[in-house]
Amino acid sequence: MPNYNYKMKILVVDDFSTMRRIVKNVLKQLGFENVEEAEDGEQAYSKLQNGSFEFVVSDWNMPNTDGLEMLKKIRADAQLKEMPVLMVTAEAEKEKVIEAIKAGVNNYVVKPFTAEVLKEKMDKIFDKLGK
Amino acid sequence: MDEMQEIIADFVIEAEESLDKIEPLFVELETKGYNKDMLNDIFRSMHTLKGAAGFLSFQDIVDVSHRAESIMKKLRDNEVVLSRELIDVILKSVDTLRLLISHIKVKDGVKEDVSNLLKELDSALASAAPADAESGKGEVKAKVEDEDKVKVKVAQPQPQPQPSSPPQPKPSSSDEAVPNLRVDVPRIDKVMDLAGEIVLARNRLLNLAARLDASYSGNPNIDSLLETTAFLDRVTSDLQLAVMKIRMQPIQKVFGKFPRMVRDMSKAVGKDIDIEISGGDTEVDKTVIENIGDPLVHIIRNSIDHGIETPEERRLKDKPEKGKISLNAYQKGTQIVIEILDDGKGIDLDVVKRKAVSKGLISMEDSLKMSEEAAIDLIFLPGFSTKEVSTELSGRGVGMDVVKTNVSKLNGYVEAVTRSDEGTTFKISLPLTLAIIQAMMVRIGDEQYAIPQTMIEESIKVKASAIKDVAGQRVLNIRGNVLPFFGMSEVLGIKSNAANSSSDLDKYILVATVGDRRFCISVDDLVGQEEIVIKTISGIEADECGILGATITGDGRVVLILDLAVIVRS
Repeated sequence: MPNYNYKMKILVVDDFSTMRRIVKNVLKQLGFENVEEAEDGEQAYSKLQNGSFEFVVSDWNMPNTDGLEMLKKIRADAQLKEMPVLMVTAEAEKEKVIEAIKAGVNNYVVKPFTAEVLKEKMDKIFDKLGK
Repeated sequence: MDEMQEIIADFVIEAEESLDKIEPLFVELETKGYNKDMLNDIFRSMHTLKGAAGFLSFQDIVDVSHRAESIMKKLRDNEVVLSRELIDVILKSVDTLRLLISHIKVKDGVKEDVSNLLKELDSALASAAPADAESGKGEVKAKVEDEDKVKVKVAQPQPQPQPSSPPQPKPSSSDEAVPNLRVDVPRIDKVMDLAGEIVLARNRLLNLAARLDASYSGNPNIDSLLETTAFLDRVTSDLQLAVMKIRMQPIQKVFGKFPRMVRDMSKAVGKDIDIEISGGDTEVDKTVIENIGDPLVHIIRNSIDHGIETPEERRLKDKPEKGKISLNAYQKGTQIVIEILDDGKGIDLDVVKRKAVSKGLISMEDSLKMSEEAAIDLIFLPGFSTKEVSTELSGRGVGMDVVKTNVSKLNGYVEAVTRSDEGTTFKISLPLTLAIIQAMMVRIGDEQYAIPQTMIEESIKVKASAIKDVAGQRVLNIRGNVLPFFGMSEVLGIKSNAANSSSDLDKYILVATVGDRRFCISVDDLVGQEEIVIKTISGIEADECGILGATITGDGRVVLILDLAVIVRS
């Protein structure tokens, strides 16, 4: 298990505020309290540019800039390209996950998910980064 | 656990908002046909709803929205043909979702049986006609182009070495970055109340400072006091405006539900009616949003049911078979105006008059003398309904009087204009803000009263002899316009102090406009203008006594606020 810095700043991206709250709540259960929110990829990207975020949990389907577009922008940005990104997807989008993997997503999680599942995914991401 | 309750409460609000947003799209889709953006918006709402409901274990919502989402996905990607049947079943899902959400909202624990709807959705998807090249060549081609684009993107080396163009912030992105905060309404209302109290205190302070200035003029402390009160005056006005703005919301929130309503109702009565909406972004007070829905529903229902003719009738009259209802909102000075127009057969005023006579609302004599404007106002009387038997649509025996009551509760007026075979227009005028108004302070007898400035056009001074008597109605000629005249002291039944009216003294006259009616009233004295905070008096009906409420003036007195509309009607 990776050695987590529980103070790390996490960005939760979703256009539906209830979802942001739910994800924040799940993160809180895991001990992460330093969480900020963004409403879409556009807003998230500008927040990431200005803030010292260490992890992004993003929805896929959003108006304006969706999760995939945001991911591509992050990977193309010299400052942000190493940013770990976890994509939240729905069952129906499973076939599209391949696209996200090609674009460089670190992992994905299908909603609804529990705190345990999220932890598993985060462990995988941060284990790899630690190596 | 508390956190969970809060999340659920948030979910309810957000889910309802999201359904409100997509509902008007269906009707637009039906009239305009395939539109990828709209279909995608609906798809995304269903998708998001499903996702959040999954976390909260609302299985019924997940089941319904999942199926609706699948249909929307196929529609969006042009895999099946957009048809009325599919829209119907999706709309049914929207209704069911609303019902399920309302159970969560009131926590009544009621379970709805959604199995029939689920079956319906499944079979709708199974039997939906696949889009073939024949039916939608244009769209299919567009789709192929889209795919090409995607391929091109994928084919590019993955982290693009250099972004070809620096990220350009969209002009709108700065707006989007404005953080939002959800605040409970009672908290805002508390701030509103306190702002109102500050306005009252400010008024008293201004008054006091002016009196001190009169007695101790030249004292340097007085100068700073005046400066400070002047500053307070400005800040208070800004504060008031800022608080008012918090409560303002675009009226689209109410308008949004009408396309669907018109669609369903016109279908039910076998008519073909379009609704046209403009000015949806006009901002109105939250109280207006909450209370204007019912009156508008009534008026629109009436237009669908009584106003607009059947396609056959319309064809015979050389009118387009499709009827039209227009809904329009705009700000005019300090008033918000909402207009509802239909191009139907108009209201038959003779029928209206006969009906009013037979119901004992007016006498036969009155009905003969009655002007057109007065006749159309009869429809707003309690217990009036033009169709002998109320249909299911306009039914329940309540009618336009509800419209009038609700609108006057908002300190507004409703008027109607009708032209035979051209249609009817309803116009609702509402004050911009409900709590704080500009008022003219007047004296009648020994008492001071406040009259809302919105009702007053101008104030003038005339000789008592200028008031003429024409066939039992006193009138005043103002620059060529002959207006009915009322003595306020007589209307209120109090003794006027303005000496004996036989002597040819100057009289203070206010020219008032209530809706489209202009008339003048006399008062004993004009005291001045003041910003007042309306405090409602419980236990009185503004409709009956002509008192809108009370306020506390700058000098600390309680003053009644007069409602001219009611006084003149009686």
